[in-house]
Formats: sequence, structure tokens, C-alpha cells
Amino acid sequence: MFSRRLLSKNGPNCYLPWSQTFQIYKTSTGVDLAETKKALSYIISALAQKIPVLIGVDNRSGAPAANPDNSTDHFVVVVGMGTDEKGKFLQFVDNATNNPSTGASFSNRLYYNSTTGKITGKTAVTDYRNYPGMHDYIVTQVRKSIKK
Amino acid sequence: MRYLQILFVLLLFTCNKSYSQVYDKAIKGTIVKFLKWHKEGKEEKLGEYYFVPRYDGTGDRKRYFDRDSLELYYNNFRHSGLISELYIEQLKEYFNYYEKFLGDKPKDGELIKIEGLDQDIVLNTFEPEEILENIGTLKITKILVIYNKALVGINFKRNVNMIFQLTKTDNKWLIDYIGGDNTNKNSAFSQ
Repeated sequence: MFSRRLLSKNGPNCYLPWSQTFQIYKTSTGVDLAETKKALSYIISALAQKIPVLIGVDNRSGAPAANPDNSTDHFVVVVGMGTDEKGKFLQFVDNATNNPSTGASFSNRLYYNSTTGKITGKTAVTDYRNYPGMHDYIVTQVRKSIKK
Repeated sequence: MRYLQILFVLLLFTCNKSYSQVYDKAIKGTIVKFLKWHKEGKEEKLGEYYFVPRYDGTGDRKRYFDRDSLELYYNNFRHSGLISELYIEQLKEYFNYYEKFLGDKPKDGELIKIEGLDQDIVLNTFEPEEILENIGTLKITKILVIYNKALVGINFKRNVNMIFQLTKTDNKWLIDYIGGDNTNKNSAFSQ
């Protein structure tokens, strides 16, 4: 919910509903390479138009018994992309904190593994990252956004 | 004689239908009322006040949600007159589950996200709009009523289907369970 607010705060953007989602990874089935390719193309074109992109991530295993969603646990907003010594990355803003120095840190990067297709990374929000049972972020879904 | 037999069968069918329609109307009424109640946020009249992390526990439960505050939250559901204790037990399980992910006490002035509070707790989904924006057009797709129990399938829009389970208590249908129907592999809830 905070990610959605962040998206609309940073310009006249709003994310599109679930039906406009690229589901690129599920814990049960792993990476969907075809969807990942489409999602990355979408992110490149959206960022070129200065539209930030809402993405879902998996950051812990399991879910409560009544919750059928066993993959997406958290949402962040992709605001850029680039390449560094670790490879190609997506730069993101994390709303898990109200502290801008970690929430919008330059080290908030999700790296693309061209062999597996998995997009993973660590948040700079260490207090959140160190919650019991947490693991690195794995991108599960990419939501389309539009300019309002 | 044959005409009498046909008339009897037709009469039986008509009676059963109206009996079932009465059930359907009452059950749908409870579900619609509850969804509207939730859409208005009536369970969260005091906002974040209900979900207070505590850091003074011992043993396995060093960090936990304040039980008294949660009880006020559960009471809002009880006062709605639309929810059973079985549903409230599931809410308790929900908070017991997310308690495991409570981290250490944040530094003064810093807010760190608490797991489980950024989704729609009542409907247990990140996509509540898909349901709440379509209350007016929801359709019962399947219904099974046995004595005081009802299992209901509801369609809100394409690929957005939910299951509701209800129990009749003191002549009122109360909701026991709400969950996504993932029969369809393209279901909005089967990410």
C-alpha cells in the first residue's frame, strides 16, 4: 500500500490492476523466463518515459494458512537501472522504512542473473532485512503503471 | 393420476426452489453487508492503534502484538453481527503467524514496516480493490447449504472468485471463512 502511495507521489502515476501484471517468479514453479523478458522490456520502456515501476518481491518463506499467495510478500518501486561490477541491476526505493538514507539508498539494487533469469538483491533497510526468517529479495511480479 | 404425479413433482420443485432462494438471499445479504462494512473500514476505526508491537516478552515470544489492543480490533468484528468466532480465531492465527517476523525495536524516530499489516487483513490479499470495487455486481456461482452450514462460491469479475463459508447461529448467517478460489489457474489470488 505504501509503495502505491510512493508511486503516485513521485509524479502523476498510478499502477494498473492485477490483470496488468507480469508474474515472473513463483516459489512453487520458479522463474518464468518468457514473462521475465517481457517484464524487463516493459521496465526499460517505462523508465525511459520517467514512469517508476511497482514490483512485488518474495522476502521470506511461507504464508499464513489461509493465504493462497505463497510468493509476493512486499512491494518496492523501481526508479532506475544500470550496470556495476556485480552486473545489470534495477535501482529501487524501499518503503519498509521512513528513513530516506536507507529507503532510497544507492545500494538498493536488484541484480539480473542472465543464466537463471532470477532478479535478486538486498535492501539497505538493515533493520527490516534482519527480521527473523527473511531472505534476499527475489522479484516475483512487475506491475504496469500509467501516467494519470 | 399421471397428471397428479406431474403436478406433485412440479409443486415439490417450486417449493424447493423458493426455500433455496430464501437461503440464498439471506446468505448473500450477510456477505454483501460484510463487504460493504469492510469497505468503509469499520473494523479499523482507530487505525494503527490496534496493532501495537511489544518488545518486552520472554522465552520464544520476545516480541509480540499487544493482546489488549488486538482484542479491541476483534470486538469490532463481533459488534458487526456478521462474523463468527471461527473467523476471529483465524484473525488470531494471522497475528500469531506475523508475530514471528517482528524485528527488534526500531531506533527512536524510525519506523520499520511490520509484516502482515500492508495487505488487506480481512480478505487476506494485496488486491482488495478487485473485490471491493465489484460488490454491486457480485454473483453467487455455487452454493451448498447443509443444515446450518453454507459454502458459497462468488464471482466478482473475470478470474476474481472467492469462497465464503457461513454458519447459521440464532437464525442469522455468520461468516466463518473468506478465501480466494484458485480453481482457475489464472486466478487473481494464485500468484
